[in-house]
Amino acid sequence: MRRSALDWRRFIRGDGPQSAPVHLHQRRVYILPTRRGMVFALLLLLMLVGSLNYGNSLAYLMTFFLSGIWVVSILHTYRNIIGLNVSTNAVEPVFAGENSRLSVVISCIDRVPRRAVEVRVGATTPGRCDVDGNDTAATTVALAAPRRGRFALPVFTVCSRYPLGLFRAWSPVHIRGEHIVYPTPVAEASLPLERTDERSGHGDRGQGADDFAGLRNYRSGDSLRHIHWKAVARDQDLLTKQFGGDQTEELWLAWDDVPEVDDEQRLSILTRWVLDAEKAGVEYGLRLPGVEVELGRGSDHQSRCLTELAVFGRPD
Amino acid sequence: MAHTPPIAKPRSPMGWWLLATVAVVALPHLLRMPSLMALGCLGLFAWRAAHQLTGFPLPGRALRVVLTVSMLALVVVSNLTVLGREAGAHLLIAMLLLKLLEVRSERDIALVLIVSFFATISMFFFSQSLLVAGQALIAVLLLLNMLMAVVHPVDSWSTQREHLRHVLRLSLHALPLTVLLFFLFPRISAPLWGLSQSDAGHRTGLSDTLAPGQVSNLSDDDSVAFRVEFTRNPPGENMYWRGLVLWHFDGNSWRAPHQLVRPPEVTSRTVLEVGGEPVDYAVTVEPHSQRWLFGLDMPASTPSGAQRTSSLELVVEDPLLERHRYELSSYMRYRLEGDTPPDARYRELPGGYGSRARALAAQWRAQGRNDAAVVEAALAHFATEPFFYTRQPPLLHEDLVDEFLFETRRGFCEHYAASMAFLMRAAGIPARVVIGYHGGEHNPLGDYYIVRQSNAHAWTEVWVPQQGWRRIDPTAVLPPDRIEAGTESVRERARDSAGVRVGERGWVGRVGATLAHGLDTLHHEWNRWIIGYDQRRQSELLDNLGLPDVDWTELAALLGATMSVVILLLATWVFVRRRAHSDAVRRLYARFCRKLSRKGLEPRRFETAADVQRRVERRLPERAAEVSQILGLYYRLRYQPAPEPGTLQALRRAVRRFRV
Repeated sequence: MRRSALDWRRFIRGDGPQSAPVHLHQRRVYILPTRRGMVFALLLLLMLVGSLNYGNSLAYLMTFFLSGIWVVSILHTYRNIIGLNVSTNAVEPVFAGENSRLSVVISCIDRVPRRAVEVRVGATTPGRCDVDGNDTAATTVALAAPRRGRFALPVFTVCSRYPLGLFRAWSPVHIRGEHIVYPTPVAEASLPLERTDERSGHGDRGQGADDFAGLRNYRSGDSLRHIHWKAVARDQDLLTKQFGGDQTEELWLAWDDVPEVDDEQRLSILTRWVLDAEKAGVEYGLRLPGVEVELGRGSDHQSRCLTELAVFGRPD
Repeated sequence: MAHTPPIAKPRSPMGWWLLATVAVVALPHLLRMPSLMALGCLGLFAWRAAHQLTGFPLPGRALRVVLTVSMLALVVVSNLTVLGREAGAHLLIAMLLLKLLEVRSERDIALVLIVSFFATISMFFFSQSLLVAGQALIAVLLLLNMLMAVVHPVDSWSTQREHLRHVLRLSLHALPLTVLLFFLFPRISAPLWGLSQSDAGHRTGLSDTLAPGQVSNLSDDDSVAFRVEFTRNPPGENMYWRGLVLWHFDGNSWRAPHQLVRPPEVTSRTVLEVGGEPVDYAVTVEPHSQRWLFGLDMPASTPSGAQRTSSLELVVEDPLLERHRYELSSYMRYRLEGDTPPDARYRELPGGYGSRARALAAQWRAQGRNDAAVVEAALAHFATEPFFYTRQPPLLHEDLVDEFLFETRRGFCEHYAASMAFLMRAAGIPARVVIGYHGGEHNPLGDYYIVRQSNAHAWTEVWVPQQGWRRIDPTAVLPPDRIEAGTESVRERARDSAGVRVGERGWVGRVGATLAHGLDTLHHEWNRWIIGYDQRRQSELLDNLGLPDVDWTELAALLGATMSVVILLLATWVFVRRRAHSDAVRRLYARFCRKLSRKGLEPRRFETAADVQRRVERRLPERAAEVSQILGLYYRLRYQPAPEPGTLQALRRAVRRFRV
């Protein structure tokens, strides 16, 4: 079925998400006067009335020249936006309550230099950039991230008021993509001391008489030999290894172990645990109802865990 | 969370540009202000400049209120009112400078710029000289530059240069629309409300009294008095258009009392002998609210509806309130009443005036000359003595004739015609003053002559036995270097007449004269075509373009149509010049991608042709074959070292045919 330009539903809703790069062609770019442009037009009207009344030739001339400028700036402002290719870079995940940073890449495939191109999302500070002809530029704009989850990239606007600020040309851009917002971690939560009942088979890793049982914050008087030096090498706080029993260096962060009832609070605590575990350099795994992340370490593993926490319970 | 724009920061380059812009805008106003007012404005400006230079703090709200009130007081003190042109302009400048002191946000700057535009245009209501026009142009360009800087902050000189170039480009693009609007926008003649300019202008042309200064007032008026189409024997030069004959001098002005009140005398008493070929012509005269018509010296026939007086003037019953066309024929060679000595009234002189002039005339008589010789002596007197032709002569107070002939010796045609007539009457020769027009501008497009109010002229007629009434034009014998620049019609007269010519001057003098003439022509043309462009001139222009009698609705439609065409052309120019790829293959491929992008199928980054093909097959199966062909051609052209000759054409055809 051929989508006609007069499809009113598309006009209201807009096209669905596009894949990058989005080309700003004529049907996607709109232009309207700004408030300054309307004031300027009013000024011209007053000038015209004055010239008419006094029959003053130079006043006519100036009025007409500025009217010509007003009309011509429509063309110039439109030309500043049309023909651009817009795409986005992957968005770094953030924690709920912070702002995501959306990096927008604008590329100009003709030789017209573009100036004062803005990218706007919602009410946050817009990103600004200049793009030279046959060149590319990038700018970042903040995305509000109040809640956790996995979100599709919102529709943002590429717009400009260049050259004279009398008109504003804009194009709504809807790029297919997503950004993830992790739950807000609580300020502090001590890691659970995992005691495995069954013999895990890993046994003592040769650290001491007992098996490793977990970590706790350093207290003065602890033996220096029990300090977890790997963490110190990573510029983290002093931690003391605890030993006892047939323990292994594995840490399971489980939903059921969280001493909270509220779901979101649980997730916040689990988030803090994941962060702390990663900081401690321990192998850790995540157990949530219906989801399990096996033991592991490293930033990728941390991202995976945090992502699972972010999207937990969300059908999208 | 106010974001301070870069302009507002001290020592920023944009701040300097803002100051410079406001300075250019305000300067002509400051020059016209009374000193107290100007000082106040300069103080405000200096405060802002100090802030820009050293970070000196700007006034807070309380201080600003005080400043506003004091500026208002200054305006009232300087003008005794807040209404009217002068006071309004002063108020505008004061407000502008006050606003400059509180520029904090982008909106403040925009307001300053808008008010500056107003201030610039308000200058035109005081003066429309070339200088003011030039200043206004610079001011407008600077203001546009500032508007641009607000939208796109300037951080380096190269950006600034780019901005200035862009402003010039915008201006260039706006020029065609400006010209169209200026010439085709319907002009109205009456003001919309009662506040018209102080000068009334002489829309009525000549009047029936030659008081000093009457004709010179018209010399700046370029409106058309009448047009002439010659059907037979156009004379080309020496075209004196007879209007009214004045014969009564009361020491102050020349008049023709009772002339038009009592019924005109029967023409049969006036004997006009003519010779040579007649000149046939038709005159279209603009309404001038008087009762006379104009004819070439000497009219030999009487137009229908008019009557010829004994002095061969042409009069009609009712004052002319509409454009009127009439036909005449005249003879350039004539003898008017050669055998009949004229009436005694042509020899009357008021007592108590011009004693020295009478003495001069008596001196010529005493040298034993006859009438004709006295006339020649008078002409030679004007030619050789230092008489100057100027439109701004010194005022004459008591004895107009003596002061002019012996003291000031500077005047225009009225002075010369009047004093010539006086001298002749003092010598006992009948003389009278004729007012009318001289010369005319040939319009080759319509093959007619235009006679303007600026061609208004006054000359003398003297009666010599056997020769009858002869036309004597004293201004025609003035040598060119004694004629003030800008009075072309006078120079025409000097050319026409066979009068005495001064010897050639050196080449320096000639170059200087050419430059002066050039400058004057520039000024003259500026006045004519730009300043003087009004409803009459507009109708003239439309007439010349072949559109007579266009009313304002038709004109508005024409304007709208031409403007649309121009805007369309401009849009094409602006958008077509975007094209970058000189490479035909890249261009065709880009076009292909544009077409695909309408369906969201354009090739993405890092996609191969096969991927594109697959997507097209899924979404648009009916186009899959075409897409495959185009991609194949493109890759062949792009990557094959030596593609076959017809491939580019094939690609071009295929892309053109491709429809999504």
